[in-house]
Amino acid sequence: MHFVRVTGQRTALAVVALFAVSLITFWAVELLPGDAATRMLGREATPERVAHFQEQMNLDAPAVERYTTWITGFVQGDWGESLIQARPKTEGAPAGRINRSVTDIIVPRLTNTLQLAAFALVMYIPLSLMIGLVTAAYRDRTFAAGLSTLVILGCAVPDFVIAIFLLIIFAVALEWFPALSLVDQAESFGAEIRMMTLPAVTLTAAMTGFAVRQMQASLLSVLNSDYVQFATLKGLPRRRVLLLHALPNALGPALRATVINVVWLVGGVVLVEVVFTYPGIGLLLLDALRLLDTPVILASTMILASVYILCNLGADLVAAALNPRLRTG
Amino acid sequence: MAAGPMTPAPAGDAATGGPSTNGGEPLVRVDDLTVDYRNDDQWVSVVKDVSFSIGRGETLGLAGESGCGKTTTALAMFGYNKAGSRVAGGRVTFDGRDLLGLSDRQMQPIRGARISLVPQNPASTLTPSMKVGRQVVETLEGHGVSSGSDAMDRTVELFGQVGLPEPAEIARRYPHQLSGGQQQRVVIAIAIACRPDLIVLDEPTTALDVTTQARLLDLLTHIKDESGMSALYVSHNLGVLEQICDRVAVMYAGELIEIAPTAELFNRPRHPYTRGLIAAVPRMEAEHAGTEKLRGLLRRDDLPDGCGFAPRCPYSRPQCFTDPQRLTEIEPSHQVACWRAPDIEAEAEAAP
Repeated sequence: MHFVRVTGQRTALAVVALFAVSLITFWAVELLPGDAATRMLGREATPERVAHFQEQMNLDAPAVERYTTWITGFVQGDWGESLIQARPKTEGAPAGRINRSVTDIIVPRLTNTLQLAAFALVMYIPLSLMIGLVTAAYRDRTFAAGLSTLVILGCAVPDFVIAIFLLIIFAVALEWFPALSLVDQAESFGAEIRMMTLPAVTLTAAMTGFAVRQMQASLLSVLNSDYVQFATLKGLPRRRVLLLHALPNALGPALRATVINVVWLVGGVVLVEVVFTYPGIGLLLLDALRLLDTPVILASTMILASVYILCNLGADLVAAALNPRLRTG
Repeated sequence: MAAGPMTPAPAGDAATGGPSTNGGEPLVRVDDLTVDYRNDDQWVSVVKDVSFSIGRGETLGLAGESGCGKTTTALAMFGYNKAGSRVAGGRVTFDGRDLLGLSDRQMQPIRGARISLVPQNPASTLTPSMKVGRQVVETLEGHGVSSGSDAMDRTVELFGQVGLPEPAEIARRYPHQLSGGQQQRVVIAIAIACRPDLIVLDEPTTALDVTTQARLLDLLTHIKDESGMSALYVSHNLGVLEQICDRVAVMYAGELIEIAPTAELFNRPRHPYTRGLIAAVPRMEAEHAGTEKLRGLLRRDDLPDGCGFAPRCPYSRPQCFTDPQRLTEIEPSHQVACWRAPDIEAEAEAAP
């Protein structure tokens, strides 16, 4: 019962938070100098053309009205249309709708980003679990010390430096991977994986360092705990002590680190997508910001914020499931 | 169980003391054990040249205040060093084998099966993420005592034996769903699961309330009497040791300073520190052998070259600060590390 109530409360809070995010984003974009019309039209921005554009896009309405219109549509699944991106000419444009809908723009980009993030997470989770366990359990050995040093190095080097180094070594010098990750133009699944490898490795390297450090810290305190000592003095094999007595009780902090990592990923993909020209939601958001394409900015931000909030919610639920103290009340 | 303050130790050859009680080799012999802990870049001896033995079926008490090295000595029975510690010298011989020379892997079949532990704090001893029944079962299975549903049946039986109500139900619970007393009963069940030869009890009742303490002491006494296993009972509480032990050894600042059969130690404590400790035990009767209260605290960072207790000792002479004291036999089976022990008794009797 307790569990259900907490879940309900957290979900309600998440909705409130998303609403706040939309408000803040909308008004922040309003406050930015310039507008989509001048950005779009550039040198051809005569007053008449700007006025025409604004009228066409309903930009001359008061901000409050525009926000209300947008959020009413948004909750109903109509995310509006881009101010900038025109519909492909081949389609017969219905009257009054000349631009591409935000949903059409975002879905393929989001899919790309999710693929990249999934690829990075698939490498990151077993890697950080293994390195964390090995470096904490065998901290007296030389190889563990070497591994720990590598991890600290991974933490200390900023992700854009990792990205650039990987580009220089594996794309430019060795030419093993393409420098531009234009996955939309990939001819085969193999080619797509090759294009995703460098950005995914960058993300993995950046996340693993942090998670391993958290794992090490929590494992070290668990390994020094009375119950691990008792399990050892019961005469259990080392492997059993590590996997069944230490690891489950050290996962909490590692899980929180993973949440922070996924949250970091929300920002991290933007950077990595820019460095590798990866056509994901991060690159889309950046382009939309440059052009002040408010509907695209809002929709991308809402998606990134939802991921953030859902991850936090998910982590709390998983932590509760792992900890019998929280599960059984 | 009789619990009067001056109850003589249980009858039998054990009561007359002596390292070996059944004539043969003692079960455990500790010789000149020295254990160091790392303090910054230096190794500091926390246990120094400690020697004692435990006979088969005998219960030896190990007394002393916090930080005197009792627990470290107890863990040495398992060939186990905490992180940042090392055995710097000495031997622990168990049933004819030197344990300190064995690797962790070689110790594995001995730990939990032939020597088992009941640690101090039951709340932190059991693994929080595992049901308590499972924690007994894995011990039985790990040592090949029984497996599968047999192990579970045996677990329920053990839980009944240690006085847990509804044992089958308790086995399905997690540690946090049990009271402190119940948790410690589970730990005791784990400790006796494989019928060990030696059970090491490290302050097993200290973290519990007084009523629970008394019940657990009864349980431990009962189990010992039934099983005939040897025990090393570590406690700072002399009152408890007096009830349960055949002999008592007293440690101070990492050294053994007195060892004697329980009744002898309580009636005629020879070391000034032992006298102080006994005086600190709350009594109903006003009069007691040692009436001097202990003063000051054990300060590890400020120990003299000679007797470690000298700075706090009411009888100390300048010589005490410079001459190290060795444990010497003052009477059969009664050893003291104090050169002034004979004078002190006279002095104490002369005092009002």
